[in-house]
Amino acid sequence: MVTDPVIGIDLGTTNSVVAFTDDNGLTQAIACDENNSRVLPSAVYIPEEGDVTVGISAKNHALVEPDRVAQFFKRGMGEKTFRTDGKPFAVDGREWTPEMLSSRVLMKLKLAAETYFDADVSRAVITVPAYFGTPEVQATRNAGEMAGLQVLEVVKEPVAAAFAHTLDRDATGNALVYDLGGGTFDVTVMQLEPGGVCNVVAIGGDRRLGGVDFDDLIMMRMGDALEAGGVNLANVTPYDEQQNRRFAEEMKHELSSKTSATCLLIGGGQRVKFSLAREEFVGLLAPRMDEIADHITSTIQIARDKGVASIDNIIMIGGSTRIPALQEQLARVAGRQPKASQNPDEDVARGASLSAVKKVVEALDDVGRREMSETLLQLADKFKPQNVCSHGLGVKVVDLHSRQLVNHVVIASNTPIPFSETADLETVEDSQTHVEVVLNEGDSEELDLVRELGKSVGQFPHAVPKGHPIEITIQYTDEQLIVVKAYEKLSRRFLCDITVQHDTIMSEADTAAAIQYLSARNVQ
Amino acid sequence: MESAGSGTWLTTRAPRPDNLQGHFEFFGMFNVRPPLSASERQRLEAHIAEKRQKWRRDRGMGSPNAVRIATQVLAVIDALSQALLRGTPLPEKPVSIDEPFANLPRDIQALWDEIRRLLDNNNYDRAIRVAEEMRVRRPRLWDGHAALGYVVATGAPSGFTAHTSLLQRGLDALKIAMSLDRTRLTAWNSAAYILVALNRLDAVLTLRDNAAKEFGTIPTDILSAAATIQLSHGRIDEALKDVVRAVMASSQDLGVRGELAAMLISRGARPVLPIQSREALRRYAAVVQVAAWCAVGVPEAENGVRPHRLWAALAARRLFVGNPSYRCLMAFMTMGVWPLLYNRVRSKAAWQVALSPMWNRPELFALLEADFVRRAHGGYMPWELVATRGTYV
Repeated sequence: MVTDPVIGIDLGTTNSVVAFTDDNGLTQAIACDENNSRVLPSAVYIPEEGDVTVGISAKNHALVEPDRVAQFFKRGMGEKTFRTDGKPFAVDGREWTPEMLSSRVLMKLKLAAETYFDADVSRAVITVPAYFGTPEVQATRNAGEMAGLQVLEVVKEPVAAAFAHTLDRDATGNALVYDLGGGTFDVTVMQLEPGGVCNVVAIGGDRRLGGVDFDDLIMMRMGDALEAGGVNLANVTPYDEQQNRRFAEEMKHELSSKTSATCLLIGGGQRVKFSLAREEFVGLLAPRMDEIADHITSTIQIARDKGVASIDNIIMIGGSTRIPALQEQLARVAGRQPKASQNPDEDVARGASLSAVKKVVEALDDVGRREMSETLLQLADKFKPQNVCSHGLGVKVVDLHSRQLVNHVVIASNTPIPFSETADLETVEDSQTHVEVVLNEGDSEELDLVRELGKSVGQFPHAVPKGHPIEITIQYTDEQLIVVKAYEKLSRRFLCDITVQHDTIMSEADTAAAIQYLSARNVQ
Repeated sequence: MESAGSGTWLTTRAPRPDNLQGHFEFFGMFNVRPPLSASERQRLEAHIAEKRQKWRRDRGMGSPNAVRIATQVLAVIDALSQALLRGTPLPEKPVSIDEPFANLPRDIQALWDEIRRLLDNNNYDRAIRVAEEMRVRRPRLWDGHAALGYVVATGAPSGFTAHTSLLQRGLDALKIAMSLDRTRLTAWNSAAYILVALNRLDAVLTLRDNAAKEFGTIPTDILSAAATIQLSHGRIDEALKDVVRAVMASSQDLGVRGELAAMLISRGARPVLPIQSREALRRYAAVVQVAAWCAVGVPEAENGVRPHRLWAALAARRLFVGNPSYRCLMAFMTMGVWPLLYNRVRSKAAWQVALSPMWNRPELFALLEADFVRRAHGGYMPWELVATRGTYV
């Protein structure tokens, strides 16, 4: 029995994985679903009462009771409500938020790890896509808390993947991490330096681009086939649709290794034969591949602007990278042949487990370090991630030329963190008695393109004239915490600070209430 | 020389002004006009790629609101870039965005109310944009897609949305809506009207038959649409049957009766005018007869149908077009026998007289100038219509 083990979790849109690092520094994923599968479908089935089911059983249940099964909820992280078909996901009148649903997946993984170790598991590092902003990261932390986990750190997926890759190959140089999963697409340029330093240089991607979108494209073609086969699409039931979606996913997998795939579609009580050739599938993918190419190009360009002259390695992770056309496209766009991972589904979780070890070692005192395996100590010291902020941070100001309210970017995206920057501003009206400081996340000047993270009001001791200098400092800490402080520039008098609020996710009170409710909805 | 705004073209969300020059400026191409030189075309392609990349990045990584806005801007980029690269002007006005949707109501009912309000004010551009926004917000719910179809269907008869590609887009949206929830009558009705606007007779009739299977009875609006398109295709008898079924299906609703009467007159009766054959007269009379039945009890509709009723009755009547003096003389000489033969030989149906009037018979002309005849013909007699257009045939 291992005492107080620590795990790394890849909480994915379609699949999730849990992994750990053993005393010899070897990382491995843990079987967490039926048939000893190390990949757990991120699907949650909520019965009328009692424990919820997570994994392949839940996914299968979508064929029977689609309204009670939630999938792809990671796409809703950072929003208060998870919407399916445009309406909030609710079962028996109870709304389930993305955090609540994610917490059930995390709990399932936690239970699997506890079974494996035959010990309680309470600490974990969870990964998130590189472009997740602060609300999404906080929502992920909340989900961990609801699952009874102490979240040591939330790590960006490409960083975790680079850890795993470095461990396997001891690679150095400039790497492009291409992570095309079930629901999200991440592209990251990193500098892997000797000694395990991983510098993130540029981040790009699309939160709504992944394998499930490719399934949708096949589903559209299936709809045409059903219509051509004499099926009135209005008669296709949700159950038929679930079954056909399953076929679409299977065909997509099949087309990675074969040149064509066939299935028997179901619709309105009829069966229609449907075949899809690989060329045809690639044709369907073309618009999305075009988007992928754009994201890769723009991210490489950002990296170039920061002095990365060439890409030396390409790391492909995520299940969707098995599609040959995408591999070819990546080689074409990046100008280098990608190295496919042996286990593209598990790399992120394995990297997270390394990060977890590092966090544990960092917190050890001398006594603790002496008790820790030498290999793990070396491993923890080896990896030195240098992160960047995925989104810019700015404050709301009045543009003196246009007299419009705009977002003044203080820290641009892709800036290495920790980082601190000060903006020199001034009052815009005579006899101003106070100043409102609004913190925004995003790189655009336009306020409707950025997200407000918090605001505060600073009072002057007396009315000040127009042009009175103010200084606002924004600090992005190593722990990805944001500290904002405003001062009068001349007197250095403190005006106000900002506590980042996440109005778009569950509040502390909501989280506490959810934990209470979920205590009766454990996981099978 | 580039204008002062040239540096901001990447972030511009919609072309200003919304014309060809504005479309080029939208992509940072100032002071150019088609045909483009090879280098200009190359630059345009590069700018389109750059702009698309910027907004794709916003859609991929931005806040939820930024994602919505970027999605709309990308749609504008797609529409405009295709038209400009083809070297032809836009086939129709693209769906543009010039203001964010942040202030739109979140509640679905309120969104529908907003759309109806915009339609009431004939603000179809904005209504389409709100409907497109609904598709973004509710992609997996029937009403998210049905709204666009509803707007397009509503604007089609008056020509506001009668562009083939827009009609097709509305129809595609409705197909999705109906696949998501096949019990929604709004989607069926809208689809029927769009198919009429697209002049797809077979598709309308298939939709009518499918509706019968789906609902047990055919909804009034679908019957009305089926009747409309059948009238356009000359299937008068089938159309009239559908009209009668529509009235019965609506439980004799006066509003429906009035609309059907107006539709019959505009689609079935007016196109037959001027009557040019016995068959046309038969068709005209049949349509007007059913229109009159529909209009019973609906004062406005009765007013609209009345001149046609009178004209349909008069058009078949034979009018004497011979010489009255000669007829009198011959009647006297033949002791009343001649007029029996002469009347038959020298008479024509009123519709024939109207078609080619005898200018030397002012009394007949005066008769045909009766107010109801003019009203039936829409204010113009057939020969006047030709003259008005300044064409001599």
